[in-house]
Amino acid sequence: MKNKQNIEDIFRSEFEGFTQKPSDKVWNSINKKMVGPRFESLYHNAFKGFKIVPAEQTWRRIATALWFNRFIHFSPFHFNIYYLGLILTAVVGTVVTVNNNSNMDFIRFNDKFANAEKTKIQQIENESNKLDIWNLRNSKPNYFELSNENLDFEKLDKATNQTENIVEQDKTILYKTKEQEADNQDNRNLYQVKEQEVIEQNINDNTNPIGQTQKEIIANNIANINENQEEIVQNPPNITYFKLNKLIRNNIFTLTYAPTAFDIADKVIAGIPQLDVITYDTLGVDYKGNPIISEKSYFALDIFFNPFLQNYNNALLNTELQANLDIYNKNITPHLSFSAGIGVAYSYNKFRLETGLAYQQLHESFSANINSYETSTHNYYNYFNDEVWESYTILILDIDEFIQGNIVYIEYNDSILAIVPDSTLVSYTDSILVNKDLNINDTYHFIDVSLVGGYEFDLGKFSVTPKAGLITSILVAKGGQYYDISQNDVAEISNCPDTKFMFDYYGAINLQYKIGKHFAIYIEPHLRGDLNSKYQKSYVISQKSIKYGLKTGVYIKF
Amino acid sequence: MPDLLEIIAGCKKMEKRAQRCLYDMYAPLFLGIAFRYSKSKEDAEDILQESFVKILTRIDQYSETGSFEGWMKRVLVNTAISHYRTSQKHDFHKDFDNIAETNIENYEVDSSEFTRDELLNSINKLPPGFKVIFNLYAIEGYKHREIAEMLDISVGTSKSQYSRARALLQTKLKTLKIEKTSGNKISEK
Repeated sequence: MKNKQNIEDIFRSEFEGFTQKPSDKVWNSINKKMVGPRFESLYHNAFKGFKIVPAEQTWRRIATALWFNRFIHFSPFHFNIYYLGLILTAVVGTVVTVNNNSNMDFIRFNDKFANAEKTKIQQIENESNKLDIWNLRNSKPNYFELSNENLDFEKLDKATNQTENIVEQDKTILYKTKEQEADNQDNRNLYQVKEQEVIEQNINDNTNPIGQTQKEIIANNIANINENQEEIVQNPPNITYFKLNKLIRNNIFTLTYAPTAFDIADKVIAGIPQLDVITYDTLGVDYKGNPIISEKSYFALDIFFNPFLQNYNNALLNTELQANLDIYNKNITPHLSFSAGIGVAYSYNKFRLETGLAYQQLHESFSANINSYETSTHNYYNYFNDEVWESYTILILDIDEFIQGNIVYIEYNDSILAIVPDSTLVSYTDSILVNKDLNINDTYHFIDVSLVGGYEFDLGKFSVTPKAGLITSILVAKGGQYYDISQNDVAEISNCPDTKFMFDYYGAINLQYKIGKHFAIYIEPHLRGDLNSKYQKSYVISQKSIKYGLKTGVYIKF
Repeated sequence: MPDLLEIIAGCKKMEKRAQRCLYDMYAPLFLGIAFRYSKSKEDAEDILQESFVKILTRIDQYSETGSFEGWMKRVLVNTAISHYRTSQKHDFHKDFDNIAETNIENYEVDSSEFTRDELLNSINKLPPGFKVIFNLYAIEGYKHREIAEMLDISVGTSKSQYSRARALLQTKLKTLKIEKTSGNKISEK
């Protein structure tokens, strides 16, 4: 049967609903391309409206930071660091003012004034019991009263219209404390000062002769004439100063002793009898018949600072990288470094054993000029036409209604695929050869634990001690800069934790000068060498250094 | 089989299962359409793949007021046109212009005279520009105004080119019919 049709109808009817089965690879390709959008959608949906309550600890940290921020900024309405500063200033100011008020009825034993050397008392001593300044302080004699009838100064003060020098020998001034006075009015002869000389100078003012009179009293140093003590006293006893004119004017004064740092240290050490284990040997007698004594054993506390320089000895563990080692050797420069710490020493019959703990900071720099490839990113816009479906609505006049006299519009919605010119940013990377100057500074932080032995050659106030030993260094951190190959540039690194045990031999000559029974200062030129590499085993370079330093410090013997 | 609306909702949430369902539903039909615009099955599958990626990633743009299938077909046809444009090294406008005028007559064909493969083969033998316009107008049912917008040509060009494509196709079918008739006679002898 013939079925004549228009050509369009034939094709339309043949291909209406015409299907073909696609191969499996089509869906696989679509599926692969949809992984990205699915992933984005997953996170978009998962975190849409997502909220999380911060932990209490987080809020506390924020609150602390806010409080601190508030505290360090000034505001008249809340307490802050400026108010704290004002309060501290007021307190300190008050204390300082009170202590420096010349009208106050107390003096400081170590007050410095213009004619100090002319007004001095070397020591006050009890008649029956030796009383040095330290004991005087410990016994807390709060008040001394100078009774005018016992002072020869009164007689001198009255001779106001002339300038004269009076020297009197072996005068005795009697002192007593208020407490003792209260106990027994008659018992006045408790403290005795032997007056060696009294000098009056420059009496120029008639109206206030006492205030302008300068007198000097030098009391006997009882310690020097005490036969039991003189063998072990190597230094003159402490000299104590006070203003005599003020002492005379006020008569009553408070003993406020302000010893020097060495006084305090000496007395503190001396005040711990169980640690005062310095023992002496009598080696013989000198030509005067005095015994020659020498330290037999002692403990010592060692506080030191040790600047040093170093040389690197670098070795290559992978021979293929000889060029790298050459560059490294050429450009690495060790710099002045230091260590500082505290140690303990024990000496017996001149043999000394020392151990200590120190912080060591090692500096080096690496300066090089290198050629390297530097990558750069270029961006350009790739323009294309994007397809967007745009919806639109048109109103069609309803003709049926229109011919009936009504105007009614029929709403018709449709959409049209619009071609929208758009662009996308395309990036590509390229590389160029660049020349760069690298300047890198490194710092290594170590903790040193030392064990050193030596023998001391005693030369009186001087001694020489050759020493040798082993130092264990623990690398705890390193900082500074390093060359970041991925960035092709120098990058900062601040105290990156790293651990490495190092062992060093140590040789030195200790040159000591004794400045007292308990104190000695020293310098110690030394040589120190690494027994193992500073770098980890994974490094292709092994580095051992030899350090040359001059250690300086103080021994506190007890 | 889930409801189409459920599938669309699932696709909007980027659910793989829903996307697969949509693909299974429409991929054979769309491959049939894409086949008419391309030179080979591989090209047609490329168009299908590209179209589905566009559909699945831009499904949010579907306003749900019109036909979903129509929206998808439109995406497919536009993709086929883009594909056609990029595959033409020369300016594709010339493809429409350089075809000589053909004697156009109203030619009616008996549908039983040709198989579907023969018809498809005759379309594929058309110059690419003619093939696109013929497909769009005769089979997809687009109007010349829409075709002109799609191909960025004038409405007049669309009409004239369609006429030429149609005439060329008639000629090809006539020739094919003659060949088939003579072939049959030879075989009868």
